[in-house]
Amino acid sequence: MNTTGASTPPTLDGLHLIGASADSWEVIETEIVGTIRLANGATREQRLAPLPGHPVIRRWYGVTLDYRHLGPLGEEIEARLAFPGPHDLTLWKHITLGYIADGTRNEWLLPWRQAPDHLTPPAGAPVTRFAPTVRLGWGTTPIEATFAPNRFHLDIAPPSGTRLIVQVVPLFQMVTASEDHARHYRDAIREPRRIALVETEVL
Amino acid sequence: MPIVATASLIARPPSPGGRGGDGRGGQGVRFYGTVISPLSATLIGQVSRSVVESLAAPSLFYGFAIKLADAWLPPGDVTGPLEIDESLDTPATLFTFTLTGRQYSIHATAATWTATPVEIWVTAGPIGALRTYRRAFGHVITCEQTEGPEPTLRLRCGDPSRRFDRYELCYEFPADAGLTRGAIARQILTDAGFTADVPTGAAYTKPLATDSQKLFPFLQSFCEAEAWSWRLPDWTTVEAYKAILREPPEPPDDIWTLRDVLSIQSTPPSDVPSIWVIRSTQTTEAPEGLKITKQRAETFAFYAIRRATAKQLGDGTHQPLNLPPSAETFQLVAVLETEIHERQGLTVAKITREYGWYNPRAAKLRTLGVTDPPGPIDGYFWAEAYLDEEGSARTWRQESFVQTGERREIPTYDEEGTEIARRLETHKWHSRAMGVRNVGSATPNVIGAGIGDDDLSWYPFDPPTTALLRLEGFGLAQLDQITLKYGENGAVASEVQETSTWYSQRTAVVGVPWFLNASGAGQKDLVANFHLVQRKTTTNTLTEDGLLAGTIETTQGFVAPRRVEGAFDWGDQKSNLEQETWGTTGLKTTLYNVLDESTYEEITDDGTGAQTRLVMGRSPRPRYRASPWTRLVQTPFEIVLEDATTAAWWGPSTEILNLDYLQSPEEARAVAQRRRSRQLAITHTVIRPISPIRPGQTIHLIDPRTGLNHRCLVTRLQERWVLAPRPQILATYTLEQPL
Repeated sequence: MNTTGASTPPTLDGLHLIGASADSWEVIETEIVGTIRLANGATREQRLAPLPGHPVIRRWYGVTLDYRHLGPLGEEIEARLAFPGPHDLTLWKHITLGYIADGTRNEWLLPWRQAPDHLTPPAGAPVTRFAPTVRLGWGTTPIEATFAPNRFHLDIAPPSGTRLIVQVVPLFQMVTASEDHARHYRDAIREPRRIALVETEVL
Repeated sequence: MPIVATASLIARPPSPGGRGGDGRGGQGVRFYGTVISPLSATLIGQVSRSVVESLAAPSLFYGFAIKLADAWLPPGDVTGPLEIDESLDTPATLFTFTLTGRQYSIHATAATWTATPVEIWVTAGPIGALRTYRRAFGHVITCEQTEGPEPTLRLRCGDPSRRFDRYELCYEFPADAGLTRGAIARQILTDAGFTADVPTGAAYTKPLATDSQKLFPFLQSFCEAEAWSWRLPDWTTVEAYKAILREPPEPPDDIWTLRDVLSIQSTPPSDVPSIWVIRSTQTTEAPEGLKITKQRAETFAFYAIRRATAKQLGDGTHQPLNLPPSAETFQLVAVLETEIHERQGLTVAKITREYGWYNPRAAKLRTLGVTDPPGPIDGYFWAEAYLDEEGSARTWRQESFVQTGERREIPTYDEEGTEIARRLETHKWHSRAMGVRNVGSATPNVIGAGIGDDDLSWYPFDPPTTALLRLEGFGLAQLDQITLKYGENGAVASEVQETSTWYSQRTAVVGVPWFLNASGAGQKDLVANFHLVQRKTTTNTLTEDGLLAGTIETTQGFVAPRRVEGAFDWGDQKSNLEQETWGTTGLKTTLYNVLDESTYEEITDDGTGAQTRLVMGRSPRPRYRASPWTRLVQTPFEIVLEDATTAAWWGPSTEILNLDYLQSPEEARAVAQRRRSRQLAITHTVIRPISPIRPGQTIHLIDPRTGLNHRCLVTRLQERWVLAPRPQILATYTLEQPL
């Protein structure tokens, strides 16, 4: 995967967050899963049944960008956050999704739009670095696949039970997290800002 | 798992599957196999447990969708948990879920609180092997709405059986109709619009009247002897099945160990009755010959026999008797004897006799004869009589223990055993009116009439050889003859009751050739004769189905209408008639309006204006023509099962059950054993992930921690599907482990 670490600054509502580096990115993945502990000590997990064509596991993302000083980004960031969501946010990082083939289906749905389809990567980064990939099974090389907004398809339906591993760079749709933010002004120059956004779904 | 079994195969189409489902439908174990030899009817097959085991995977996916009024509800609108409750003891599957949205408000739609069709389709299984199937279906029963920006409604629903909660049955099956319990249940269910999947069951020989019972409670109690439970596998089918614990060598439906369950809570039996008494009736052929049943009831009480204090002599003087006063002693005061004569199940006579202390009335005055001069007391002579404490003239010195009444009912039947007439004889101490003189005679001129304390003249029963005249005799005092006529629908169309008694027509007191009583009233006969005095004709107004809509009651008797300026003087009135003549004396109409099942309105009109009153209970019903099966009689029976073990464990206690639909002591014994077995069971409440197991199936439950290693019968299942904030889909099973 070409997008390990936090090598590329995020993009918020079309604004590449370049010029001031966040002190930390915190990405929280929420997985809707319940667990029950059986009488023998074993634990079973219970998940929501996916709709046909959807990924087996759908995680929901929350992103917190903590800036000690917004610097030149301050005005534009505040201008964007002066409005309610949804805010488009991409971290320019791949997220991995899993699908199970049923032997007949050759098109599947993606839970997000893909960032490269809508944005130019910041700082001259090559688009190819953020391209989506599809692999059939673990330890295999990517295969040819056609991606469209919110979906992808293969020319031939894989055999039933085949695991499809898909990596995409999502363009999240976010709203502000429901938490209070304290700004600690340590001097007369720096403008601290903590941006906390959580994923929403636009129907 | 290979098995060899003898089985009956019933083909069922798989359920169609829901949104996103695989369409396979169905639940539980699948059988594959071939019948090798049709003659031996042996099936060797292979059991696939893939469905059962698919719900035992470590990671399972769940979801459900709801179809309300044939439209799928948006998943976002279904906010609350889905709960499903089904039991072995009721056909009803109840389920609830929560909706949020203004469009579901009870002010906006009736679909959330009236009997709207609703289906619950669930998806469950490991990824790649998800199954979608219809888990529950039925109608909305009602809802509870919580107001807010978006109303939240908790909808309570039930399977199609709930729509028949208020459906009342109206069936009558004669005894020995050649029907089995299954056939009767099938007929009732088919009439209710269901497809009945009901086994044959035992032949039901008793007569059966459903008598406004509700459909499913009736089926449950009527078929309890067959050990049937009831369920609805689809919208229109009602299935009766036997829910019994499967014993080895048959395998259980599933084996649950600690790896399958979250918890097991066990409760031992308690307070199980030690004596089971079950009462019912059985049909027996009526015995040939005459069967006479006698009953005698004696009443003892403190009673003082009444004795005379003086004797009135022929000259009018009172001679004290100086009898010792009677003391109140505890003694026999009344006897009631009942005698019933039966032949082939029909009552041919019913005789009731009463005995008690009695002293007949005697005359206070008397007449002597035509040639005698008029007596000193208004022309009468003193009679001899015993005077009791109250001064009443009596025949004997003191009361004697004698027969005081006798009533004989003698019905007449036609060839089919229908009662068409009834004769009622009433024997008692009675008097007969007697005249004391001819009309026009100034003084009494009749021989031997007695005048009682009531100043009326009466016939003396004993020969007038002494001066003591007994005015009461024991014998036939009244005769009622009832004749019944039946209509085409079998109900009585008319009833005629003719009453005869000792009576003399009243007459005018001037200018007629008849007699005068001591009271001055005219009477046609010197001594009252026994003849017809009243005829009451009741004509029933019947509905088409033979129920009683009303009656018209006509009464005839002797009557002389009053006329202010009548030609004849009757002493206390005037009339244009010189004597009473036979005519209509009364006409009364009655109408019954049924208001509801427990109230009716009765409107009566006897010529003085209609009167209305509300009556609680059922409106009167006419008598119906009997059927040939009335020759069969139902004999009560009672079985008693005593359980020394439960008596030792919990002390003595008796459970008495009156179960009308049992027809033999053997059935009663089996029912008692089943009830006892269920009460005398250890109850396990098992919480576990959902499974295909349903009430009525057998589970082998193993818990090494407690030594539990037994087969149990599943009696109840409650499922709770919670999807938010995190999925938790659990089932609570109630299992009964017989001791």
